[in-house]
Amino acid sequence: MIASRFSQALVLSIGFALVWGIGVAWCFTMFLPSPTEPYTSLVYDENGQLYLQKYSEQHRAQFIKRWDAPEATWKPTKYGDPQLSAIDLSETKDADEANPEWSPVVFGWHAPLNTLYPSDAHHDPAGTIYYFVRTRHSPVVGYLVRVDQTSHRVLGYVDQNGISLDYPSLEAQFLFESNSYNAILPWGNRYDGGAVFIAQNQLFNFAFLKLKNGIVQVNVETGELKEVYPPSYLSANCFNSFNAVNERLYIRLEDKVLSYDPSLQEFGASWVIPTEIRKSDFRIIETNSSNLLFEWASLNQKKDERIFHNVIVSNDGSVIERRDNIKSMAAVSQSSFRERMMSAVVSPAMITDSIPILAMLGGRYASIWGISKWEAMWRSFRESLDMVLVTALITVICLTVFTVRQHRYGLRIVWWQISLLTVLGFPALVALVITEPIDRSKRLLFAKPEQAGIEVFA
Amino acid sequence: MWMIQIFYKELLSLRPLILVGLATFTVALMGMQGSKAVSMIVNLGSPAPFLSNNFLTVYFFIAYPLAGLFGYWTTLWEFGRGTWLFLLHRPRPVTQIIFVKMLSVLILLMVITAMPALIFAWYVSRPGVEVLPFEWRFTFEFWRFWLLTPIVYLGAFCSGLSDGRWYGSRLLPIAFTVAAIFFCIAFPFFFPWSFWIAQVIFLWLLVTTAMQETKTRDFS
Repeated sequence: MIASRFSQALVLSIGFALVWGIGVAWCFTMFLPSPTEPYTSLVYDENGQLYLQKYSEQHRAQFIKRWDAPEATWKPTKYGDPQLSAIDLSETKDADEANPEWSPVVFGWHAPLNTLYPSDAHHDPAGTIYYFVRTRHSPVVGYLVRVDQTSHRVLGYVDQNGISLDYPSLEAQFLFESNSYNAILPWGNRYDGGAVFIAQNQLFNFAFLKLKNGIVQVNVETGELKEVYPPSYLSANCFNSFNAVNERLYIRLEDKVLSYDPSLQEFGASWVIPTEIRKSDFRIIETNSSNLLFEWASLNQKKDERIFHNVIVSNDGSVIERRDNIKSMAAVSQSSFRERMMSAVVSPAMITDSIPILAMLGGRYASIWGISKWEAMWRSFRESLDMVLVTALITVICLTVFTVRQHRYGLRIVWWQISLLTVLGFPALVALVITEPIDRSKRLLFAKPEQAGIEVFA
Repeated sequence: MWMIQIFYKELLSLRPLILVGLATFTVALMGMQGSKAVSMIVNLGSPAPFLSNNFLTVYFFIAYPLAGLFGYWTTLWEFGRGTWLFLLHRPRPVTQIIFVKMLSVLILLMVITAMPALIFAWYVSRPGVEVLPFEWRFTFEFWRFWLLTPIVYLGAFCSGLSDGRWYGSRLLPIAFTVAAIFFCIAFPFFFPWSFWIAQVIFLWLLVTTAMQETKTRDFS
């Protein structure tokens, strides 16, 4: 009996919490102010000319000025301006840690999910398509299969021995370095870390497999294999995108960035990565003078500011120019007092406003602030203490209201009701009021006064 | 014996929904296999059956609403035709009758929603049909979605049994179902057994809630 009443109250509590949270949060969105700090980034146009680009949330507008003319005034961008972008070269290990393997472990068995991604962008003249099949999870083992799209016939399996029509044995399959991403992606896709990527368009018909013993290049026309890098480049990461100046493939290694020309037969230019960012994420832009601009962000913990650094490096490794303070912005955009109060009203329950908040914020902020997880948890707790206190206050009010109600209608208060109210707060109060039937005739608000005499109206 | 009779009764009363569900699945699977007639309306073409999201999306948008309809059909429809009174006057405890009724529909639902997947898996596993070497382990993700179908049914069942107002508390079990499904899909990997533990907890909560609704509901 208790179990079923408890279940009913819990189901209704969670249901109400969802409806309340979505409804109230939607109402609150109109009161949230837009960020006032404009966001500034570095971009380049089709000629390799560098620009500073500023976007203001408040004004919903973009402004631009040339990098080499810092005194110039900001001009609003207009339709027809060149598309501006930079190349992301995130570091593999960070990506792996931030995005753990998605497949669940069920009964100790790694389910082979998301192991196979079609390359939906690539259609070579022969009408073939490649798939990556992962057959083992840890360590990651897999192979490529080449298929005729029209007839659905398998044209060949690609393993360590090259391409053949025989299904690859486990020993012959590729042993991949990463267990986080195993996908074939079309050329130019944004992609954060990977064991496999395919460089596919009319210029680059190669796949790159990041294996335990180095990086292997696969010619997707012929299935031919070629070792590109020796094992010493294990921590290398490979990203690709088109540069505005020339069509290039950029590959990030431990200490330098390499560029390929479309033939991939010879190395193009290379640039030494500044020592301070060899273990972190950065973006690059190749300028029109064949120099490489590195852009990354660092944190000034004392001022809680994120600073964007920009360094232009030449082919010989010398630093040509450095700007460390192009624009700073709030490093960790802590919610304002108003937002925290709104959060307390949106989810007025201790279970959502205390422990999970600490854990999630702690994990998230630890990497941003560059401090340990416990320190980050303590800091996020300090900064969200007012929200926790307001939620606790709401919980106390709910407990009081429920106690008064039960007393007023002569109903019992049991332990699971108190527990539910403490953990789920306001939604639990609503659910208990719904599920606890009341008899209004038993209302005990005012005791009936004793009869003192009979009033006679003459 | 009375359990089989209830099962048979549910099978008969759910026939229209079963037929509609199977027909919808058939059309969707035809679309996934490149039927031009279906592709003219919606493109469901999928290069990787079970591993691409298309099959799961099709399942999500057909099986889950079907489960919701089953839940309401087996509760609200019975009020309209006076079947509850007939059912509850059997010489069995009310909770037993409703539990068996719920279980019967669940069995039907699980069979009906598994059938299209099994047929589709058998079809694509035939040589030359699909571009990929088919392995049954590729269907794992589907079975995970399939196991969540009872949560939708039970949420709708609780909502149908509730005597609250539609704009009040009656739809809250459905909101709970949405939260439970979201939790199971989005956060199943805290630790290896979390999906199964969450699944069992949610099912237990909904079954006991349905039993509580049975005890407090006025069926007259």
